[in-house]
Amino acid sequence: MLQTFVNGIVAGSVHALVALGFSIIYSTARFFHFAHGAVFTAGAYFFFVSYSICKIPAPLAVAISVAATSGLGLAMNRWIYRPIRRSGGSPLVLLIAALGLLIAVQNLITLIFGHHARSVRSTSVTEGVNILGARITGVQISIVIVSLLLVSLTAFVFRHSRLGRDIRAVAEDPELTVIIGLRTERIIAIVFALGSGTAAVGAILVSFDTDIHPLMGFNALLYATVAVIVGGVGTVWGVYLGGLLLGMAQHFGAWQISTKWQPAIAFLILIIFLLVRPQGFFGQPPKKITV
Amino acid sequence: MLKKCRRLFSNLAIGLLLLLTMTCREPGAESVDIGWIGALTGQNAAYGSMVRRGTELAVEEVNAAGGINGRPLRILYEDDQLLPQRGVSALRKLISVDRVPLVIQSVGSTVMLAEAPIAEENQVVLISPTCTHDQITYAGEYIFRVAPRDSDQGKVIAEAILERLSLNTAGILYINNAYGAGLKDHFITSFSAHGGEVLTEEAFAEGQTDFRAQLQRIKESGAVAIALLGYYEEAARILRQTRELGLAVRFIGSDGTSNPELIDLAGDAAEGYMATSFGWDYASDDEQTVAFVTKYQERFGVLPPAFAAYGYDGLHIIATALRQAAGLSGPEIKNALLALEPYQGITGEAQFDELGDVHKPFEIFVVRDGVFRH
Repeated sequence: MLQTFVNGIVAGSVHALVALGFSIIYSTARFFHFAHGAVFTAGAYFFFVSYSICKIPAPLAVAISVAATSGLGLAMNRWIYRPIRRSGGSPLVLLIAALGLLIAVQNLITLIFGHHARSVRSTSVTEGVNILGARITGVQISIVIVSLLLVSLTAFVFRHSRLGRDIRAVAEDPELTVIIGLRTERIIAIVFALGSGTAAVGAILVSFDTDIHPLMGFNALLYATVAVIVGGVGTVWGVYLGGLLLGMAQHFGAWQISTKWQPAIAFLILIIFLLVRPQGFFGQPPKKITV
Repeated sequence: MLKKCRRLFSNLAIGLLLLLTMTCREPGAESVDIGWIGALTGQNAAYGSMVRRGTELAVEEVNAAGGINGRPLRILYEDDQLLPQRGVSALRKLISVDRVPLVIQSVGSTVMLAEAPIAEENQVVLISPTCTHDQITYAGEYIFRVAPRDSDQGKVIAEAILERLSLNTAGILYINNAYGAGLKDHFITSFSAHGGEVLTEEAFAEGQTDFRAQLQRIKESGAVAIALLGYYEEAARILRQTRELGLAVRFIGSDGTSNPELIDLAGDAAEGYMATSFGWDYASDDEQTVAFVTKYQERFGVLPPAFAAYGYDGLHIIATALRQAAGLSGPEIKNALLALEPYQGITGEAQFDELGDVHKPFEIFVVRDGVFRH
């Protein structure tokens, strides 16, 4: 029971880490940036190159990977999404471009690194710490703490800083923000950099917990999407709780029902939420505007 | 005028293209073409690529030794992503456009079973170096494989638990696809027939990374011996998470998990891991094996996994049959394969029975000091 609870928290924290960036990008730029999955994978491979191949010390390798991944997110926005937005492309066009990017980047990574899994761990595999009979490894404890920290930090920035206020303004009404003199494109770029950076942090932690694979971002993104919809689009804490709920449901569901149905549970939850509470836990119901 | 110029240019271009294709088709003697289908992209690309590497090495050797009666052997590679519908369209293309008399299905029993009726209808030989599903035996007279059946494998894993570990209870952790589910049923049949009791059956998905829910249920079932029916990437993660959870269980894995890369991924958590394999022992000091291992390592920088060795042996067997065949049509190649003398390769002896199967024994290998050993 306690072990399943711990497993659920760890899985949920991973979902939340991926979902966080995906959600803030969605709420600002207003389209599903599916290439976030490829950004996540790229983060893991940047770390693999700097830490495992170039043997750069871990803290510096983390910094390099986070910076490089943010750069990748920025580049996608600057050279793909921005031109589409400028030429008046709808969110659907952006979504299709994002899917194309996801496939292209994933295959590029496969081309360079091969299609098999790789490990960044070099130390021996040890038993986790025993907490009241439940086992948890050091890496997993870091996952839980880092995801909580990043989510709190993001929530704080959103609520209490000038940048956060600007981001919320763009999310609320991009056209109006232009009128009042805010540089919308600049704010969207900042959000892409921040969101991609958080994905890199998640990817590095995941690569220590399991391993890295060119297609690792795809599943991660699927679950992140569910977490975002369950938690409520545009709410930082909602996404965190959405991730946790999903992780818990996967582990308790598999434990109680059958492991055969584990992959289906996530999507069952998605369908239930879309039917019963499409705005998610904390999301506001869509406003009805009459002109 | 402009119109005329354009037409002239397009005619010239077409002419040039035709010339180019004609010259490309004629590099000395006309080649003997055969098809090859396997996962080269997507989630399962690693498996197709391993077979392809082995196949490529063998083709080089065949061509260096004079090819097929003086004509070079050429392989036309197609990607199926391990998806039956893709495999079927690749096979249709190879049959109708390239007109090949023989196609190698590198990996994926599910794909091969979907392709079999088309190969039968067109009298094209379909042969696999790795597919182990039982149904393939009865899929048709043009369907061959250089691999034993899963029912034999289920039996060997069951016997290993009963005899090597002296346990009569076991748990099952299987990949939820045709390979894993089929093998699970064969294991249960053999294990129960010998008086064993299966305590729990846990499934996982292809590409899954978190197995803690499955391991938790295994822990609660009290099973100590676990039949791990799947592939090496998931198996490596399972071994690590088992160690991290402090679970004291012994795994016996299927042939899909017996790959030296499992040891790289799982590190010391792989120590003591047991897995079946049919005939491939990369640590063997057999002359032919050592030569292949050296060549493979020089070329690709890693130890050859079983799938590469099967691909290598498979191609040599096909080349032998092509040399001995009365002609290069599907029916003639089929007859040559059936009439083949026992072939001694790096993965043991192979000879086809009347159903197009070979009878190679499955053996158990154990990881000791970071190497899969007999």
